[in-house]
Order: sequence, then structure tokens, then C-alpha cells
Amino acid sequence: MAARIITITSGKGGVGKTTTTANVGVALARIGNRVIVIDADIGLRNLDVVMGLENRIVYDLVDVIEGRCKLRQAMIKHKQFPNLFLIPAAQTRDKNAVSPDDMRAICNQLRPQCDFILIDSPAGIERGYRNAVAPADDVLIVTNPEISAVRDADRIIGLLEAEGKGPGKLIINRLRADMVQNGGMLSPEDITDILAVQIIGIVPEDEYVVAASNQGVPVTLNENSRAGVAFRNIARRLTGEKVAFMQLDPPNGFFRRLSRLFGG
Amino acid sequence: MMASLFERLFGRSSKADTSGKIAKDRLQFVLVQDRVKLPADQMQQMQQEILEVISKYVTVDLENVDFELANRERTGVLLAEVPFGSPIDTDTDDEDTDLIEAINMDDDEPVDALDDETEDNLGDTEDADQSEAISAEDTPDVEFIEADDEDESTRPISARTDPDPKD
Repeated sequence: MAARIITITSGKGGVGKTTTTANVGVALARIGNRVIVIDADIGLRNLDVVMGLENRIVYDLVDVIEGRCKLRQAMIKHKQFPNLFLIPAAQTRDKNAVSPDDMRAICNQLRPQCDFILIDSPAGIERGYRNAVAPADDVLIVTNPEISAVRDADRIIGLLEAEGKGPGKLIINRLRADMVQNGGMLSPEDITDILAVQIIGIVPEDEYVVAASNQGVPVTLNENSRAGVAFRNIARRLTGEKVAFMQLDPPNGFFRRLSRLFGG
Repeated sequence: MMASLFERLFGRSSKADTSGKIAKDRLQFVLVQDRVKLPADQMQQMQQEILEVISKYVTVDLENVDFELANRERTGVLLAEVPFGSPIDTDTDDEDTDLIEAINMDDDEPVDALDDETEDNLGDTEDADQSEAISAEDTPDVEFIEADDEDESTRPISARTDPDPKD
């Protein structure tokens, strides 16, 4: 095995990096891959909570780097998927406790043990971002259909190109198809026009996401969630499968309105 | 009633001034600014020199010149709208003389509308007072559009090099 290392980043905070990392990680594990997810947001750890593993943490990434434990001891096995592991961030330290070289060394050690390593990057373009991107083979950039998030994604794409890490691939999160249709929101086409980068996923706004993170059960395990389907599709695309983008049937789409008018 | 029925059936039809369209326009504007790595004074000087070259060959309506930056894919594009008039006799070899001839073609009304920077950069401030903005009525516009290829010359505008971002 030689893992592909994929970093999930965004520039702007709050666009859904951690949700994406957790869900794509779970979705990859669910279709049979051995997956390690790493929380690189030192000082603001959250991936453990979104994945429902917060009460099992003993050692963290900084403990590994500073030699207080073996790498294996910091890997928390997921309850439901024994082929999925989390390496949590330290909560009481800051980004300077880790260097890009540390991240490369850890990933090189993990690479033979799994199919995918997903790294959840902190927001920003400083040390934490550079730590997260240093070992990456591929970078996924999460954005929302709004000016500030797309602008920050553009900045990240520029930095990635300057570092020779390619333009990266885009995930548009929290899209509201009804608003796109009314012209009230940037569309995926608008965003790709402007960023000129390939899209690997479009995740609709979905209230199941909040419920899922409340419960610590990634939304992609919820069969009724359209966001969950979108995350599963991203995972399948990462394995090389060609998956069509799902039809974004807006809640106020033409046929829904029509059927509502006629009592449907 | 009828209008609202149509609205419910078809959604809003016009996309002219929707907030999504406004967002796209604003985003494009912001990104043009973000992506330009050439300092403002050099950009200004480059535009001035471009005008000087054009002014060697044709009369230019300097007051109605418009430079604009845009993005095409991930490449920067400099768009120049330069209203120009009659061709200029180029029998002397001196560039500066040509330029002044171009500006002084007609001596009817002196124009002080040329701003200080323009005067300075056009080379000869003494003669600028007598210079004349050439009428742009009915003159063809010309758009200089940068090539889209990966040529080195497109770099200064498009280059997104940020090799050493600060901590």
C-alpha cells in the first residue's frame, strides 16, 4: 500500500473543511479503503468531535512529534469502521509546535499503512496551512458560493500554484439550488468561470449536517441526506470512479412548484 | 394574482440584476485587483509608455483613453481603449519630436486638461500648454488585447507567484 495524501483546505474559516474531511474519510472507509485522517488544526481541534471520537483521545499529533508516544498510539480507531483512524490535533498548543518537515515525516511513516491520508487544514494561509499542505499529493479546496469564500479560494489556488502543488480541486459546499435558480446565489458555473479550476464535488445545503455533527455521526452515513450523497460521490471520484454530478433538484424547482399548485 | 401565479410557476425570470449576478461582477473585480502583482506606479508607467508608442504613429485622444484589467481563465488581460485620429508623418527620427508634433497638430484651442502626470510622462512639459487634445469624434477605437498564451510577457500581470508568504 502507498497512500495518497490529500489535504483539505480553504483559506476562509467556517466553510466546511472539517465536515468535508470527516465525511469524505468515512465515505472512503465505507467503500473499503484504509483511511487515516489527521487534524492539523493545532490548538483548535474539532475533527474528533465531528467524527464522534472525542472521548477516546489519549495522545495527539504534537505528542507524536515531541516523542511522548509512538505514532500508533495516537491513532484512534473508529468504532464503526475499523479501517478508519483519526490522529487528533493538540488542543493546548499552537501551530508552531509542528513544522512542515514534521508533517512530511509523519506522512511518510503512515504512507505504507493505508490507501488514503486526509489532512484537515486550519483556516488561513500561515504556518498551519503550510504544515497541512507540505506532505500533500492532492489538495481539495472547500468554498461556499459567496464572494469572500471564493476570493480566499482564489488566493489558495495562487499559493498552491506557486508551490508547485497544482491548482487543486474545488468542493463547493452549502449550495442552495433554489437560490442559484433564482439568480440569488453564485452558481457552480460562475465559480468555475472565475477560478478556472476543476470541481470535484458540489454539496447542497442540508439541515441533516447540523444534526449529524450534533450527534457525532458523519452525515454521509445518513441515507436520506443529499449532502451525505454528495460526500460519498466525492469519495468515489477520489478513487478514480467517474460519477456524474447529482441533479440538484431545488426545493422550489419548477416541477415541485407545479405539483404543489396541483395539490402534490 | 396572475403575476404571482407565473412567478410561482416559473420563478423569477430576469437575471439582469439578481444578487448572484452582482456577486459575480464584484468578485471578478476584486480578483483582478488581488491577482495583479505589478506595483501601481509601474502599471501607470507601462500604460503611459504604451500611449507614447501609439502616439508615434497616430494622433491620440488622450482624454478618452481607458485602460482596464480583466481575467481570462487564470491569465491577466490588459484591455486598452485608445481613440485615435489621423496618422502622423514620421520623417524625423527623434521620438520626442514626433510626439510633440502629434500633440500640436492643431493650434486652435489650448487644452490644459492633460494632467500633470500625463505631461511629465509624455516628455516635454514646456510644450504641453500649447498642446491640443485631438478630437475623438468618429475615430475608430482600438483594443489591444494581450495574448492568452503562456508567453513570458504575460507574466507581470498574471504572475501569481507568492513564493514566500509571510507568517
